[in-house]
Amino acid sequence: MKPPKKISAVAITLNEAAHIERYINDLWFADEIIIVDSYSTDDTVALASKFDKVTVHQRKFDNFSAQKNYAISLAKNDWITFFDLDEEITKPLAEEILEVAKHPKAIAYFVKRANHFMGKPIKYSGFQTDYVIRFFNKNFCQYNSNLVHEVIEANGKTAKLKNPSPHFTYQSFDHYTGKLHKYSALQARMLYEKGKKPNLYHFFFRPSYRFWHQYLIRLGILDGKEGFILAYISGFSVFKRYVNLWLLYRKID
Amino acid sequence: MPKLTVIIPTYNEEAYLEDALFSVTFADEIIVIDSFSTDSTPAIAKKYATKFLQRNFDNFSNQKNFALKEATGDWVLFVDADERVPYALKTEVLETIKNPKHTGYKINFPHFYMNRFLYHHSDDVLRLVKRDGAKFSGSVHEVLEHPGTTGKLKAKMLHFTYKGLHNYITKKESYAWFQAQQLYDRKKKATWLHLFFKPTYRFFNSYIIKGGFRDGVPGMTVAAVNAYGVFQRYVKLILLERNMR
Repeated sequence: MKPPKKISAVAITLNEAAHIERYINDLWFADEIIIVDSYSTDDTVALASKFDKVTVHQRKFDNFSAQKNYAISLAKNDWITFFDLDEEITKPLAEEILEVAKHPKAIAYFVKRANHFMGKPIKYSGFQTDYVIRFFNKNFCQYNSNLVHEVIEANGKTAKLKNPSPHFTYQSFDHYTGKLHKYSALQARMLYEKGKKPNLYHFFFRPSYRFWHQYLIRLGILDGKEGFILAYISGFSVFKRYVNLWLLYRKID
Repeated sequence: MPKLTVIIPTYNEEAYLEDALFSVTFADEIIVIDSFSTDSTPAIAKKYATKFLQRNFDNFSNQKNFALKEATGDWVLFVDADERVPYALKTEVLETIKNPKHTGYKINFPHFYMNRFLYHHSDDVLRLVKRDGAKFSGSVHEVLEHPGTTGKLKAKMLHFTYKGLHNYITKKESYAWFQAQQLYDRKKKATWLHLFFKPTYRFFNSYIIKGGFRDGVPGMTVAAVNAYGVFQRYVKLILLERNMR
């Protein structure tokens, strides 16, 4: 048996004291754990530093891509796991990663996220294809430069892992919509920098399209009331993006 | 000459309060009822107020009733810190209380929103009452009760409610919790009808029936955000039923 490739587990944190210990324990299979913290004001750093395998670095946050690429650059090994703090790496998923690491056939592996919302698992609503690259060879992969929804660009063959990662993104409804508000503001800023002007098509068609797309085409209808609620707040978030853009041109808040 | 008392409730209003106070200096008595502001609101208030009162906030009704008990004027005008009484309104108020036909008067509030007035989305709010027999009831949407009939003034109140889109939306979001709690206490259940029909109706009503479409993008935004607020009310009712946030 060939030993598995050495693995560096990498993460970025800001005020994650509530998750950090569970997260590090989930990474028992990694050979080293690199944490790049953007100057948390809670106990994140102290809690993380207790673990032998963990090295904590601090860097001022500019954007997700830059922060994540910096974290990757600190890793000693080629093979990287890069999970978010609110994602759980279950035992079967960890074992699958170790197994794959023996004979990697791809340069990047997708993990399916198992999402929850308002206390219910969400199987449709667009989340059926919520696959994200979480295990990869750093020589072929890096984060692109999107300000929001940064994704890993992989130059080579990719594959999917079988075991999902439970994703605890829901803390409260206001927290959830608060994140959407932040995204819509950032997306408006991106459109503004590209010189896009909002018009009636953006205000009326795009939000309704997002709603119906998520609710019918992406089968949100099968997720019950939660599917409806998710589709509605997505549609509203699209609307808000264009109102923000409209405001940016008029220099009002 | 009948005497006029102005009552202004405050909490951390240092940015807005001074102009409001300045606009009501014609009153015989100014009472500021503060919920223990942590900014310079008390210092600003004391410059103009006849009486500066502080009380822990529980709800608007109790807070304003507390100030009402301290009032000595024959008539009382309620003004918020982000509102201004323009000259035309001042004149009409003083004229009205000399020869009143009613015991309460509504004042029209065109919303100042995204740097323009929304004339198709204005509210009439009861703000001027004869002190005798006037009191507030209700914990969220407080209602001003008075013994006689209600009239309406022609002049408008200036109202600077808009402090940015994000602020406007998050205010609706926290307000939705209050409303959901009230529905929950009355044992109401959130149904599909509420989630689907109520927000749609609210948008349609605000944008088409009330003519919000004539106020451009701001009119559309008010309609959409109000509908979103209604939607959130029922989502949050579901959350309360599940004992979640």
